[in-house]
Amino acid sequence: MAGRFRDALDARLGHRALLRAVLDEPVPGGARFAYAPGSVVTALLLLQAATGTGLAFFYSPSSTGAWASLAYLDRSVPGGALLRGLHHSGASVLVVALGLHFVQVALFGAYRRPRELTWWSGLLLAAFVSAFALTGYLLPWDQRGYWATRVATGIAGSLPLVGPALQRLLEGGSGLGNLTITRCYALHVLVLPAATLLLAALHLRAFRRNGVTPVWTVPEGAPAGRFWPDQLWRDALLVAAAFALVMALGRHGAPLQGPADPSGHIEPRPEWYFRPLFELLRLLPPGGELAGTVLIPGAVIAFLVLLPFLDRAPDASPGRRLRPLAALAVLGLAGIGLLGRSFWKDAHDPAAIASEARADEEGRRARALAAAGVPPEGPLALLHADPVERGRRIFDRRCAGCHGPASPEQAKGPRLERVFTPAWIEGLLREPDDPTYYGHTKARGSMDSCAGLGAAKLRLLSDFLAQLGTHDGPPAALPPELSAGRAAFSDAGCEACHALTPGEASAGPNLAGYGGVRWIRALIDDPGGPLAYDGLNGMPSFGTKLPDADRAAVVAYVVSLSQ
Amino acid sequence: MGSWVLGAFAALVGVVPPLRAIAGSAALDTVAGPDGYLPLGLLDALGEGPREVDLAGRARDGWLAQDADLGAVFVARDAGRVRVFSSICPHLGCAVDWDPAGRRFLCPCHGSIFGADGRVLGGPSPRSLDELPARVSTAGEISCRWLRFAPGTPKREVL
Repeated sequence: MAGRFRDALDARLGHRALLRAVLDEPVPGGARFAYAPGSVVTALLLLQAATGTGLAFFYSPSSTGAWASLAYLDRSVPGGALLRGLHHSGASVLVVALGLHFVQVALFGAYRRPRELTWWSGLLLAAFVSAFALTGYLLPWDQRGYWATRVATGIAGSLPLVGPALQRLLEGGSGLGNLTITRCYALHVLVLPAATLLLAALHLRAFRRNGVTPVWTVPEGAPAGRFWPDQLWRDALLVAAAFALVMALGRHGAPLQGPADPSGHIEPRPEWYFRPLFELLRLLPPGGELAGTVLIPGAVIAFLVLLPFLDRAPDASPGRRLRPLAALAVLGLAGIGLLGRSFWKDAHDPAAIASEARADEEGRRARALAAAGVPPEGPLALLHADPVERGRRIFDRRCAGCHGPASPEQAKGPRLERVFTPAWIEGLLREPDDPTYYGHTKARGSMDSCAGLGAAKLRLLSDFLAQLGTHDGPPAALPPELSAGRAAFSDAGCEACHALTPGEASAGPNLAGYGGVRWIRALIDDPGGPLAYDGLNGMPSFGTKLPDADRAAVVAYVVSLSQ
Repeated sequence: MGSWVLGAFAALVGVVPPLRAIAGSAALDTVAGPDGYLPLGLLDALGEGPREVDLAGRARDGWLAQDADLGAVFVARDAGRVRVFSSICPHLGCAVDWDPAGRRFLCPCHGSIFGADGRVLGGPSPRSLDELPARVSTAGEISCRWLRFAPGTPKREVL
């Protein structure tokens, strides 16, 4: 029954002959794992097509929707983070497999006559993979993708003669925006897949015409193995291993930094496989960019294209091809060396580490805010509308110069990490003139250390002071659970300098509502005012320097530091 | 045999995650309006026949949160009581129109007919017009909740 059905199908499709043509390929000298990398690359391309198709079900290609749709996919769609993770790690494993394929081809001399077409189409396919990577990097429209693409199109724009026109062509107009995204999307999901499919067909056809390039140790006329099943299971095993690696790397999802922000500060880094080019540019002296963007890569490409003509050894054994192999090895090692140097430098560069950490942290906060939905104006509007986020931006520009993030030795004002928490206050009470507190301020020496009170009293006092922000009123209105702390405050003699009644002047800062919204606001408005530090404060009065809403945002941010 | 097993594993990695996400999002509340009552205007302004009012509110649409039109409702006075009907035909989800001449609701798509009280009088609709929970404040402000119902079934099920 099944046999008759298959016969009938074959009479109509002819699939048996087709399958035989595909599978019954002679493998000179027998099947080997060394012949498998090409199949692994093919399988990984198909995996990218499958996971990419899945992503296209969710991705919204616009400057307001791109980041939001992916944050939504990551957070809300079951298995969404995994899907994005597989596509992301699949690209990396694909590049590694492509590298192994190149090593195989170089070692076996597979680029040599009569396989020039296979070689050239392979080079072009590798260029397509690069184009996939470049266009795909932008699509999340996060900080990394945005700024890396800005640099990439800027490089294109700096090319002689064609540069400006090329940059406009790539960006789809006069800058990065909606039309850049739709352009990259169309290239990434329509043009490049179709072009890759056609070129891969040519590559495979040319490959099959002359068969696999045998290992040089296989003597001419040695008995051949068959692709099916000897080679196929080896290919399948390596494909399965590659897919398992994709799974392992991608199971926790893919990175998504904060949304693209043209006014943000970010040190863009390309994906790891572009690091050699990135590092090459970084190494070149100023004015030498053209060498890194055009001359050196162009020379490498020209060398690779001409390789079939340069390698004229009588046979493929590596011993007779020392010169081309050495050149290829130098190129490969230079690439790996630049790659390693780039990561090594970043790992030892505090600025790069801090930038990366800040970007990750910003991404985490932006994704948390987006959980409640992103407005039509886009994720950046969501961030700007959030008082804490807005306050953080203003703080970074207007306040961080004195209050961090430099080391305490350099800071001119107190450090504000976890400010107004019991621990921070306890530190202040113990050692007011520590650089973390008043050490570098005008208030230095104005307050005595309370370290003599003993640990228990200090803790009680710190807890009491940390509560004042939420009990912003006269001392009589303080809740009973604070009475012990209130007594400690009196016992320690704090009242001699610090009033607790709102509006009452005292030698030191008035502490009514200490660390609360009103108190911080009053400090920012007039830091040296009679209720604050009364002249003992070098901080500028921001009451006249910042608009009302901005000051409120800074207060919201400072309050968030204590939480 | 081994090739088949390995091939099946590879296909699983490529096929299951996309399908899982695609099928998984189908089970999510991707489109949703606010839970509370939405204003429909004053009782005094209500005329003789049912009046069509657009319902607007804070809506979720996938990743988006926006102030948007949710849909239209008919506000009608029925025996001294205020009733609010969804304009969505319970048959297959077209929007019904009020026909003042015939004093009835007509669905332009498949010809379902409903009386002024919402009861189905003819056509393919399996049930009467869907009534939304409504209330009138002491100041005479009418409001209702925004609900959507499964189409095509005699039983009324909230989506």
